[in-house]
Amino acid sequence: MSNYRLAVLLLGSVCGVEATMADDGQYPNVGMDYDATFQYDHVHADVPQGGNRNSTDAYPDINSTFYFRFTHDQQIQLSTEINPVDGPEPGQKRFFEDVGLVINDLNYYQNNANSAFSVGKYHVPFGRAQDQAPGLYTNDYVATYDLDGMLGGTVAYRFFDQQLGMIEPNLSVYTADNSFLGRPYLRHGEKLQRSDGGPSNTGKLDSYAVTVNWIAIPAVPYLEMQAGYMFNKQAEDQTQPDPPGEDDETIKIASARYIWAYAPSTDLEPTLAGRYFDIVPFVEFADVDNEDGIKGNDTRYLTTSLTFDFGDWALGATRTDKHRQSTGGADRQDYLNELSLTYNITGQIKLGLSAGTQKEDGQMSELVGLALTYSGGY
Amino acid sequence: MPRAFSVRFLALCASAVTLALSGCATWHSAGPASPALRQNPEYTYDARGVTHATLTAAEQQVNVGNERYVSLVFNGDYDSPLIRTRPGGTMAIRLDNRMDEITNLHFHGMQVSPLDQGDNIFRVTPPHQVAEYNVKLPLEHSPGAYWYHSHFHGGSQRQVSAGIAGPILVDGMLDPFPELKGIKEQVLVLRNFQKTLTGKVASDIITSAPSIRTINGQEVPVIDIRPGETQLWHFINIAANQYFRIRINGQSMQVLSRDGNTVTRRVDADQVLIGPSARFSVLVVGPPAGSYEVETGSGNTGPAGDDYPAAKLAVLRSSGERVATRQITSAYPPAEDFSKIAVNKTRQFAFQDSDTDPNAFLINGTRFELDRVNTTVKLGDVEEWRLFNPSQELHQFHIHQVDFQVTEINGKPVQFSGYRDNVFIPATGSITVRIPFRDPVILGKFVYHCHILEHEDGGMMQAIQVVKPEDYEQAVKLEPLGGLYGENNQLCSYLRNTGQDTKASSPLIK
Repeated sequence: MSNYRLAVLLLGSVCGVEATMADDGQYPNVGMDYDATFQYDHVHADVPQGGNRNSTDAYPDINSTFYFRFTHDQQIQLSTEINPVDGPEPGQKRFFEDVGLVINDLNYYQNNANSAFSVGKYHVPFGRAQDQAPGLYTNDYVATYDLDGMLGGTVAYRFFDQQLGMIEPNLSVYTADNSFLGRPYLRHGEKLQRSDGGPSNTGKLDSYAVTVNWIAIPAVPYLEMQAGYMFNKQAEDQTQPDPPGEDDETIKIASARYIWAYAPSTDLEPTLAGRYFDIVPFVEFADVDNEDGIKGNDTRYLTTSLTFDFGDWALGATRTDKHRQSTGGADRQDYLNELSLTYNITGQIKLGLSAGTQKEDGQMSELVGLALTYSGGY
Repeated sequence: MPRAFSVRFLALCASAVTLALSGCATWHSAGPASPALRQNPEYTYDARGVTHATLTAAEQQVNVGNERYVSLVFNGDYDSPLIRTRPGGTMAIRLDNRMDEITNLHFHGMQVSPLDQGDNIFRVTPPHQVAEYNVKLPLEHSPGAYWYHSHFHGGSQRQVSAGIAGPILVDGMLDPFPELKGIKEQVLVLRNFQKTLTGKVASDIITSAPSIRTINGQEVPVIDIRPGETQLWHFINIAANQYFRIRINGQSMQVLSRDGNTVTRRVDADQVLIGPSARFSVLVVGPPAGSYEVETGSGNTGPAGDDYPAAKLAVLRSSGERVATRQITSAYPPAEDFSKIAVNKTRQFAFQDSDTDPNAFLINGTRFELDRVNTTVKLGDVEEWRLFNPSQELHQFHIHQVDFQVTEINGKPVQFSGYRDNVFIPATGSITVRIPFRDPVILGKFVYHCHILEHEDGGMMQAIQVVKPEDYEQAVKLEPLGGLYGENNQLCSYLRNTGQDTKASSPLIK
């Protein structure tokens, strides 16, 4: 999408709400939420050819969201992230290096009584493993369907029925961002070009995702389910004279999460005293055809996790299997195992520890990470 | 200099700031010597039972505990005036809004008319304008502790947190217990004020942020008592979001009233759990001479909720000669046990966090919308509501105009001991209440919502209309359009049907 068309889209959204603005002394106003994480990762890779197999990376991950609110329900939001844009090379030891700023969201957002929509640059709501599976690394492992910073729009509607609970369909239409919003700032780096090709990088709103969330079912109120379908139109890679076979990427997804709380711990006194206890199993399956737009590159992701919440503590175990079907030889099975522990030092400061093993592209590695996060707002 | 280096420097600075802020978050000041508990400034009623009060809301610098902040307060004081009234009395209140933002008033817990100049939260007072409230209490109104506060949707959390709230006392709680006549009453207004670096009230309220917890606007005041002396303490939680878990070191308390409703049997407690908006009136007996800490325990509202530390709230100082302890010997006033009757209707409500927007909170999938009515109830009915909470954090149910009885928590029966007007909904749990919509004074449109005001402002509120039986079917049909009652609760056909003489119930009207 061209910069001009993007600007028109955002400006149109702003003008569209101006008529509904009321001067109550509170709006328009501005606000900000932020969280700042210091993270340290240690990776030990079992490199067959030897050499330095330990890499370390200490870095910040600072997320800020700025709001310009027209009314209680209407706002423009700008989300930025300061962190290393790329991971370390094997054997590399880094300390606050390769840090840059990227824009994750710049959109107009409106939340009504039963519906919500946003238009601009936004995160496509699809899949839950990246948010619900505990640990520091699973979200990267399922990045194939965790699409951040796409240009387009999304709309959701909430239906509620006394027997069925809440059913929330969501439709997103988008294209990859190769505008000025897509480049890294404050560091050297290239933005995505149209000529790079790849899924949804067509410059047109011809990729889409549909999800249905089903939650708050009166008979089983602590069960949450999601099903979804994603279509990413493949754009031709013009940078290679003979690109591999290309095709549109499609993803089918289904997930379920259940919260089982130990009932006596949910009474008011034990909850307030930090003795609330629950166990949260989560499972998500994603069937990907032509991953990354490569024809025949079909994969399946299965994420299973178990979280134990106890007061200020959360202990989690996550496994994500990635199965790649091979057209010629044997299928390949990659995975990520992760054991994590989170402790809320205060309501605003959180310490996370994570340890795991990973097999990716045939290479084994062990991961250890620590993250200290401070959250706040203004 | 390479640009990457400058960003590295920026990131290091940001991390340093983060660590500094972290330090602030855990730092506690050692305040000056504890002052004696101050009494709230008070408006009381005249011979006709009318309490005239002017509440001037303005932004100004005030003492919050031992610190100075610019905040939004009533009458130039962070410790808002106490409004004293009685059953059958009238509160004639002039709200002088000198703030640059709109506001209004809700009379929390009071079983009064939601119409006109009554407890009408659909009215708002624009900046620099004046509104008049005439709240007529029925003769049978329950005595006890109540409060008033801003109920401006979208801004109530910040305004209440800043100071736009204060206590109400309806006299007569001790009337059923003549053996307690003359005991000392203490009104203890509990608040939480978020610390800021700007010296002004926070623009974005963060419930877990470092804060100043006060009683009557004071940090750790001294409450005097004599050994053996019986006092009646009214704990009134007017904090926007926080729970108070109060314990008097080594002492037990006897609960006399919850949310302005006298209990129906003896209830003893080592600690009282006071949710946002709740009131507990307790009998405290002076211990042997010495000082005893009054503290609130830490608060954790669930994995998706808030987390705040314990705090010392006050010191109970027992001194002087021992006096005879007064104890309840009279029977507790009876109240109807609704768990033993057949209900007219059963409904269920899901109080849930939005899983897509951290600032949105839902009831049955819906955010509050001003011009919509969600529930229509027939006057005279007793309904059973099952409130379930699929979220991993507490919610705090409150309904205007009526009290209710909690009959089940997580499906297990609760022994009846009196009514409430707010109650927690367990994180990933449920609670069942029975609500009598019987008193004609409540005819009209009002709301029920989560009283963690962050959640209410985020949309966890719905409108309910109580209508005469003959109008019920028509009102249900109109629900999506706003029902029988208009936006300001002033367009309905019941405006003058409360049976009250207009002049008597509107003493400000000349």
